[in-house]
Amino acid sequence: MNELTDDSVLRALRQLPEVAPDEAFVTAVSLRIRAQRRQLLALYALLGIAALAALVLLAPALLQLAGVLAAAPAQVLPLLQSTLWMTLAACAAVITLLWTRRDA
Amino acid sequence: MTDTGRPAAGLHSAAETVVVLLAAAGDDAAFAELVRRRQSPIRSLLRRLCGQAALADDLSQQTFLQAWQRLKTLREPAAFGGWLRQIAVNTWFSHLRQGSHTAVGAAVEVMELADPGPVDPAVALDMERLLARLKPAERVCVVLAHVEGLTHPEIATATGWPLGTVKSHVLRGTAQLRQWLQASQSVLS
Repeated sequence: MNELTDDSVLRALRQLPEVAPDEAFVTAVSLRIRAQRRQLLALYALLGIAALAALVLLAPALLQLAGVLAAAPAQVLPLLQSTLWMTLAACAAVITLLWTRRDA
Repeated sequence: MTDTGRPAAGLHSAAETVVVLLAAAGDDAAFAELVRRRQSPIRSLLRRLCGQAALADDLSQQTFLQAWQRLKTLREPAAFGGWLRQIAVNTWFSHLRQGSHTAVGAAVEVMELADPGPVDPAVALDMERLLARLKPAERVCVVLAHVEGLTHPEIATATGWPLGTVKSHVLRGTAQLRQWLQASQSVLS
């Protein structure tokens, strides 16, 4: 039986072939990063919408607290709220678009 | 990231520390250049650790994705290679601890696995397959020491294991490989 030394094992290990560079791999990583970025963007937008929704719901109370509402005409509050809800709906649409295209 | 099919002008010949700094500042083309430069050693390392080309490539992609997420935390750009290798090893450990590899993952913790049994002479000379037969803890230490050329303290840093544990894994793994190679040679002769 041949006696193998550690050197022959090390030599065999060092002769293992390297994986050749591949441009398709770079593209695959880029696509995963892009998808990750969209997900992060969607998450931040979702947090933004949640904050905005809270603001819309609390707006009357906040305005009353600040003493603004008492002096303002009666139609200001509905106008303000409808504007905020429209902003909210636009943000939701953008998020939906980003979310459905996250793997594109 | 921009369409990365083409290397950006200038980046191709730039020093790696410069490319790392640009990538950390959010330059997508610079990060693509880092992937281009470092994919070969990372994919080779993971292929030796997990023994499957497709899985190794998937784990390599996860490695680069994590590197992209954490690049701003890298304090020393010159250490990018070692830092990336550490992420790759951790990605492999995470994979071992998940799903169907739960038992193997536990083995990483306790450093014990059942003996894989006698060596098949038909595959014994294929070192990559022999590596795959080693216990995960021994495999990672042998690969990092003998293939990647890391010192024992560097392996201890990369794996988070005590130096003594690393040394014994390298010794036992190398001895096991020698034994398998010897057995296969005696069968073939």
